[in-house]
Amino acid sequence: MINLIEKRGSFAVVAIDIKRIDAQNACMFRDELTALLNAGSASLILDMSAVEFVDSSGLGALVGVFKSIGPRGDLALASPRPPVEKMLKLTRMDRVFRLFGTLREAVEAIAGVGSS
Amino acid sequence: MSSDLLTIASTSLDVRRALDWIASQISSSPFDHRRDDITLAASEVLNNIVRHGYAEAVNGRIDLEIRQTDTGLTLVITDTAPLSLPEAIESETHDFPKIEDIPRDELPESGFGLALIYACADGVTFERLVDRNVTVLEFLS
Repeated sequence: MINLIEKRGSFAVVAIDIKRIDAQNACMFRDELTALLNAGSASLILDMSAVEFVDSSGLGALVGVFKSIGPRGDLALASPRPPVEKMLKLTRMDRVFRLFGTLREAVEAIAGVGSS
Repeated sequence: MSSDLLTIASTSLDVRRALDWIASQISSSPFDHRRDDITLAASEVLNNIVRHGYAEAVNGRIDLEIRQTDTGLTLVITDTAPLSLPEAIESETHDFPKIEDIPRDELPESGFGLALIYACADGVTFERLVDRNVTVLEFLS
């Protein structure tokens, strides 16, 4: 469901390897990301490029992870597809999560340094 | 007018099957550009029927009908759950919460379903009949 690409300092870069985050898998999705937080990552960068659909259950899972992160870190969503981005805008969650057009932009912003 | 029918069981896996069916029915139709709205609204209705109407009982029945004309698509969802959808999610509102005003640790993790349905569909009707609930979602081309 998730694939840890890189763990650097206090943040982890994670590829989401599922097409949908919905009522069928939202709990497991949240559990897997929470396990990463519990393993020491303060911030998460999620590569959302493979995700075609997020419903309100999937959104709830993302919010739950965001709350688990707390003020010590960030939740960044990179490369959300148009339907996912539209859903985040409809629910105003684009003002809560940090959205980036590309994974590179997200990594640069969260790491606070340029990447090669 | 064309009409297509599908019956599913009240499980989240069957909801996925229904969404795939809806997407295939509107593919190459005048409503294909509304696919995201239609599937998201349908997903919210169906998952709420599964989770709240049938209270996760897997032996419930849900019927779907898609009616298409040149100018409008109507999705009729019928179930026999004891609670109609508005009764089942009565705590939800038609409007999205003002996220900006909510502290991070109090952000809602649920309650977006009804607002998403109204945001995505051009018309929404819930009807509680004697032996069934009928939800009608309308979309303009």
